[in-house]
Amino acid sequence: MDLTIFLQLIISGLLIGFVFSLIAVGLSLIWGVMDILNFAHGEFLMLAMFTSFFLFAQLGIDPLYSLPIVVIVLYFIGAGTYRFVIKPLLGYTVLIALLATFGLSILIRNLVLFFVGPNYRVINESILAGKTFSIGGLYFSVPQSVAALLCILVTYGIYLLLTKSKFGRALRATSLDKDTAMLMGINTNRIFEITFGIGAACVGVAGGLLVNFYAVFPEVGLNFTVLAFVIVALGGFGNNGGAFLAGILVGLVTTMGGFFIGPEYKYTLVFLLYLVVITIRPKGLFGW
Amino acid sequence: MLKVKGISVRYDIIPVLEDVSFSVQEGQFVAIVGSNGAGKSTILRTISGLVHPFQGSIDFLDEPIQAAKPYEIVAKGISHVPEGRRIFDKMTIRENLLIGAHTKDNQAEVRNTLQEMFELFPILKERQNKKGETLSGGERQQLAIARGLMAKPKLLMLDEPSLGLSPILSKKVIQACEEIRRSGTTILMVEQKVTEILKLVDQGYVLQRGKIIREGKGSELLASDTIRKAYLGL
Repeated sequence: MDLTIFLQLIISGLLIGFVFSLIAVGLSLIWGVMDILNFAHGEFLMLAMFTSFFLFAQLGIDPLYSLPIVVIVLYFIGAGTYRFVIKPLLGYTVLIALLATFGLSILIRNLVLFFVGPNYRVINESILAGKTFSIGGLYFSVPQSVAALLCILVTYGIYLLLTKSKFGRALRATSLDKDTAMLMGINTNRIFEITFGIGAACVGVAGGLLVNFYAVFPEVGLNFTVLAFVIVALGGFGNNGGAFLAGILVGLVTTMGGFFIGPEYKYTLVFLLYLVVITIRPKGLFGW
Repeated sequence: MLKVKGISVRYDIIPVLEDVSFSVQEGQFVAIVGSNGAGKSTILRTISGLVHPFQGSIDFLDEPIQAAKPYEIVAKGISHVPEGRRIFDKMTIRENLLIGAHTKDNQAEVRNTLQEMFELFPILKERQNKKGETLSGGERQQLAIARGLMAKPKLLMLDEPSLGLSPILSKKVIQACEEIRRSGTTILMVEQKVTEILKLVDQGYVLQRGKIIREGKGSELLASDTIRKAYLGL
């Protein structure tokens, strides 16, 4: 096979992989702190994409400029989900909260379907959309490159927040031992709320960038929810660094698999990889 | 300083504490002793706000705290070193200590307190960048106490600090508590090792099946026939 094609596939895989990574890091963050899998994570992504799309279509704000607005909106959607859906259920088993997020995902998806219809919407004329550049004979999609770059920066920012800040320390302590964290004077409810907000803000960034090269429709989040779960499991539940690396791996597998075996099998390969890894190493590739 | 008046606590429908009352004066070293399952830890968890009593009241510095949240209680000046150390294993020793000062915003004060802890427990300074999980039982207890002191508490509550330690380590931990008390911090400790602790404290309470059955000075309780028969096998 031509080396250029192979390198082109690697580049495409890495670019989409970084976006997968950020989506999965958002999910992993929530799981790591609260032991709750947010089934509405993909719907949050869909809401981010729709917010960005309508800000563009109705107000003419380019997705690149509306990104901070989308992130803030998603932060509050996430924090609100914790306050009004999860928090009232905290005294019960984790399964109840998990089912609540599942119900929320169905509610959000159908509300969007009801209000905006099932049509696919695409942004063709944004600052980034449809543009490419080349280096050494390899082509780079501008929207995907910008998305990858920002996703790397945001993931690194989250890493710094978790490891270098007082808030990050409190968040890690809460995820390790909630009761003892409370005895240290940490308001764990506030930590949970902010974590949910940050987790949703991560998909806010990803969704606000995806809209430049991905169609928007009410069910767009479904695929990403499943992929994000697989990535988080591959990376090791609650391991944010693992989720980041597994996201890149899944990006490479979908791109390579799509090219060599056929686009209709690209996700089959991801799930196959997931089954193999979970069978051999149940804690995931990077779990402890 | 601390007044606990007639508190009763249940876990679901099971009564754990019944009409428990006691007080701690500023500067005192007070112990609550009793056998395993008597409800000693529950008393500390109730004062800390992890558990709320269904009746009775708890006043700290003349303010009611029985309905307060744990982080509000820490901010008022009560630190609780829980049973079993409960240090954050995956965080470094330095991070564990800094977490103890979470309620403190003055970074200069936090750095000073950190140095004080390193002087009190030199092993923690040596190993400050190691993960908590690398510490031995005695070192973990030192870290747990130091972490509790990082909040500069007015009242330090210790839940069985000598549990699982060898007699030598246990003695060291008790000595550290005496030193902390001499530095002006009020201490409320719950312990099963009745003899060692009652020799040291100003005031002791004996808890049996969720009720305080005796109180008095440490030396008085040690001399009491009830205590000697029930806890010392004499």
